[in-house]
Amino acid sequence: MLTLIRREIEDNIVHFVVAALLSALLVFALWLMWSEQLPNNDPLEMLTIFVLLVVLVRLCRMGQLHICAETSRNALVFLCTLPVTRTQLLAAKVITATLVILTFGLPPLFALRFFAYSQPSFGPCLGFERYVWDLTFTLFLLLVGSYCSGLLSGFNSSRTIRAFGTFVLPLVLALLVLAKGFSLQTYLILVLFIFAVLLHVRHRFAAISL
Amino acid sequence: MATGPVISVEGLVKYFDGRCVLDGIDLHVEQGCVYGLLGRNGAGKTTMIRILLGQDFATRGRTRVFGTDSAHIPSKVLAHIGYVAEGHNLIQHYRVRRLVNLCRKLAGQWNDTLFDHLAKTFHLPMDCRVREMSIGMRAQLNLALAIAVDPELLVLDDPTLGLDTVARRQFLELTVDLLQRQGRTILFSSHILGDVERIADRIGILRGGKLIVDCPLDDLKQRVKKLRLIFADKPPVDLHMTDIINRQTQGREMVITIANMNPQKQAIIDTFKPSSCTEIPMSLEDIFIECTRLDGQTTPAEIEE
Amino acid sequence: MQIRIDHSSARPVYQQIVDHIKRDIALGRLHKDEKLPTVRELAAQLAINPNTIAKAYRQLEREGIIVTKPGSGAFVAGLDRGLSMSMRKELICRDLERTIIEAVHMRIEENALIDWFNKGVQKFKFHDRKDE
Repeated sequence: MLTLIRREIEDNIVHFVVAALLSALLVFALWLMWSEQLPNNDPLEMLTIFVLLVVLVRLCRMGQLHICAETSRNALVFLCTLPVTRTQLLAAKVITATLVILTFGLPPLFALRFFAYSQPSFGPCLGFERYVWDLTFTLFLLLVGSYCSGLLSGFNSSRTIRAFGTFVLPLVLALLVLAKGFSLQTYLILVLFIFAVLLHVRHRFAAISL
Repeated sequence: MATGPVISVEGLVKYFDGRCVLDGIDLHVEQGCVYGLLGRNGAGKTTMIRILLGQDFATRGRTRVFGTDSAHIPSKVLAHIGYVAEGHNLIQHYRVRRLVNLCRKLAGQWNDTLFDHLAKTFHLPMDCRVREMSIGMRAQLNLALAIAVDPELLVLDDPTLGLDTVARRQFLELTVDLLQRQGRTILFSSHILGDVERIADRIGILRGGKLIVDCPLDDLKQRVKKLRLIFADKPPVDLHMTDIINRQTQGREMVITIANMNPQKQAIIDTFKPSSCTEIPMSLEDIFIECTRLDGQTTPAEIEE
Repeated sequence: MQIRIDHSSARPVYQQIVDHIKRDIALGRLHKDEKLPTVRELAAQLAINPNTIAKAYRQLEREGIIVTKPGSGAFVAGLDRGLSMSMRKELICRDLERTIIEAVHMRIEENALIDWFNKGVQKFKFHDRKDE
């Protein structure tokens, strides 16, 4: 299994690099915001949201590529002749995607906490702590959900529908989060969505003829 | 490993886009058997092999490998199967070294000495990308990877495609070497019938979606006979028998190919009093061509044990 | 041992191997107690299925022409005169029959054939073989 994961990481190195760069960008933006280097924080907030949207779309695209890319398919045909199951192959992809998400998400999270605690006025009060956790958890689920929606739309053979899906599906999820806010309901919906999609994708993945 | 046939195909039916490619195939390959699967291009050999190994799925019927259903072969069982797929595609964008390492790590058992020996014999370029290699080199790499896992079942789909004469002989010798180890089973499909003739125990011929021949190779040669009959006058038009695969008449001569030859059929021929009746020896290639030719006069006979 | 296998022949491969070994023994090319190549060696040399070689060896053993000693291999059996003679008879008679059939098809008369046969025999020296 480890071999498969390592293989996926090697094949997805581009995604890791991009995630790291965007992560660094976010950290920089956060630093600028907290250290009040700029008179107005609005452009930085816009930047943060923009980066998040880019990441959402990229993750969705990554999910699609994992299912439908030419190189993925060829590799899949060959790998299925080796002693690995299709479920293991899919699991390796999902784990790699999670690692990409963590690569993107962890540094800004730590930066946020660091900056927060370094400002006495924003000290560790219960409300803020709770807010950060909610934010982290929701964003994490949102990012995973984006990747999963990519997996789902990757099975579609039409390029236009896939291109459509890359933008629309993550947007729908993001709007859901905006509408419902960081609440238990949001978590539930996202978790159920991810769970259902993974089960469905696993079933379909096992049934495609190579 | 479970006892019973290594490969078991029951009532296999496969439709592609409404077209019937396999129409009720029944096939069993016992342990230790070398099974040569023959058929013209598009006869369904590759389809059947892919369904057998879980890469594609049957429309109806079932296939089993080592007693397990083809659609869900556990990795423990896959570890004992070596597969050389048609086209030798492997993973195109990988370098050979990376591909070999991947196979080595994922394999259940791996014989490093054997693989290194094969890599040297075939002069495999380890730092090339797979897509940069000729099809012959890819075939040799594919074969080396399949044999290095010391498989109990070796499935070869047109393995010598693209190989030059020397490489083909090397491949044959490799296969024979594998066979020396007890209990190895081989299923292979090839267009080079000379090679099939050398190593196959049993032959299967696919035609029109059906397995029209499924019997030991020696039996096949005994049962399919080509006779040259010369008559004093015109050849009879009413020489009818079951299992006449082919019939050609020219002047006073009639050449007929008969499947399932037996003394009764010989007796029937004798009643027509040919002035001479000689047997024309047939190689496997000749038999195959007779069985799969589509003439007006051919009737697909079934030759089964 | 150099065996030429004719794959296009109707005669099964294992039978061709049996014939060849019998012929070699009959012609004195293989002596009593001489070791035959192993199944492995012969299969590798001819590039054919080892099962075929094994089948040939089994047949030869059944006919008492070779003996297999487990662990050592296959050896030419000590043939008594009768067995050796019957083998040689089988080989020669088969060729003779083939010629006779050809002659019949060509509508050669029986007397002419016998006459030609005798003329052919006179061309060569036949030994009085008292050995073996």
